[in-house]
Amino acid sequence: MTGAAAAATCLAVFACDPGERPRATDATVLAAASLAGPFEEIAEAYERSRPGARVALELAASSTLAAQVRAGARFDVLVTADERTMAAAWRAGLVERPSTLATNRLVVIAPSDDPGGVRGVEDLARPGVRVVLAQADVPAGAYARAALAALGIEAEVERNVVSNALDVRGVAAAISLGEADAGIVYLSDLTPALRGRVKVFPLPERVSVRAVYPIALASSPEHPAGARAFLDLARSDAGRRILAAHGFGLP
Amino acid sequence: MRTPGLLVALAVLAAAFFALPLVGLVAEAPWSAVGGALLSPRVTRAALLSLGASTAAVALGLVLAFPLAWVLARTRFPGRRWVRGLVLLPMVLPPVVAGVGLLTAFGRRGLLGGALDAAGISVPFTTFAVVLAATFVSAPFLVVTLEAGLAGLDRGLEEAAATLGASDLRILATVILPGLGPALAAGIALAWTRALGEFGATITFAGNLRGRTQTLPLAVYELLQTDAGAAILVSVVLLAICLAAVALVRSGAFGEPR
Repeated sequence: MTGAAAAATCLAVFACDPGERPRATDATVLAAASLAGPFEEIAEAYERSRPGARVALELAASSTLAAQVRAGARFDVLVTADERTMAAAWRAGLVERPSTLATNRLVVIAPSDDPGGVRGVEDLARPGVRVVLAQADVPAGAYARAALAALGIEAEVERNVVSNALDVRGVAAAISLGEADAGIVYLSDLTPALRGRVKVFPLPERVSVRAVYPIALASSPEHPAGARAFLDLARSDAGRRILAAHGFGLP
Repeated sequence: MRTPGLLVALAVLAAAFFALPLVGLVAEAPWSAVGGALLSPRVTRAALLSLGASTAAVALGLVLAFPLAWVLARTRFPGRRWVRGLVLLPMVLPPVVAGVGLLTAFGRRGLLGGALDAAGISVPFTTFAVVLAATFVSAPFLVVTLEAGLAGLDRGLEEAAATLGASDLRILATVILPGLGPALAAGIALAWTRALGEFGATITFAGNLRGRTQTLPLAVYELLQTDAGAAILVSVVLLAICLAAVALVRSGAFGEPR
């Protein structure tokens, strides 16, 4: 059948890709999606400092990572975007005692052509504004709803929500594509590429929710030496400089 | 050539590879919680939405697939092979790519976005977007099965009917459609289950909102983060539906299995 033939061609094309010589994985790092920018840099720095080493970096919603860890996924380092998810993993004996790596703040973003006429977080409650939030079970979604509740507009905004993104990057994508009118993301999500496509509005000081990112070693790491070395690098001055450059706060 | 024992052993391993994840789902499901999990508002709303959207996708798919299959099976024109390839592409395309493609076509800033906007229509993040995403990935199954069905029909019967003075419409209703029955039913079963399982194009193009765009696969993904047991139970339901569809296609209920 032609479909099968097309699939076979597709497979053959990828299999024929010469690619790089495979290197052994030296550290498996599970990190909250919002850490994508700095952790890709920290992973690169780690690989430069240890020739031949390779970091396997998985970026997803903290709750997704926690579910994988609970299901028995092998890993070395876990970083979540909230203390609740990490505390649960610690209580379950899956990670060593966590420590705070970084902090983050929330901002409202709207497409640069501003189809919804958004001037600040209050506009998210105006009927007809199409809002995208991270789903309530992931930290970014929980923080956003806490801030909206503090402003007393949570119910109104919830009625305007057109999609609950599976992680915070899904919010940034919907706004940068201009498909929704406004969303709430972390300050650190404002990569140079995203900044060029969106308008940014800070949350009022009185409700600005501070996200806390705990980091911890796995209780039974897959690569004990690599795990410790990666954690030390992330917490070093070099690691902190990278985090700060991406808009994260430091403890 | 006789069948070597080694080959049989490898075949058993291969069968186990496909069976184990399914057995795992059934074995790990917390059956004591089945009522509460499957009857929760989140799951029932997602189930209704999934069943409705998949059915609508097949209906829309048939409208698109029948003329395409006819033209591909019964006419010769330059570029016919390319058209067939284009129609098959969604079967092998990563679903998230299908979703991005749908946004670039029907999104607010998409190719047709301006025209749709002028007409007051906004497609992304709506139930209609769920149907469109499901149609895009599932209709190729209808084209493939209908084209094969049309090619396999005995043209002599149609000519005989025409000689006896039957109109085109009557030939279609009394000769062609009955002859297409098995192909049509197999195509509908395959397309419907593919539509039911759609995830990547849906989350990208239609988003995730309970009661509006959250389908069963999206509900499973969300549940997995907070209530793995419920996620497994819903997965078992989806598995049972797909199993029934495959059994229907293979049982010969629609004629000889291919």
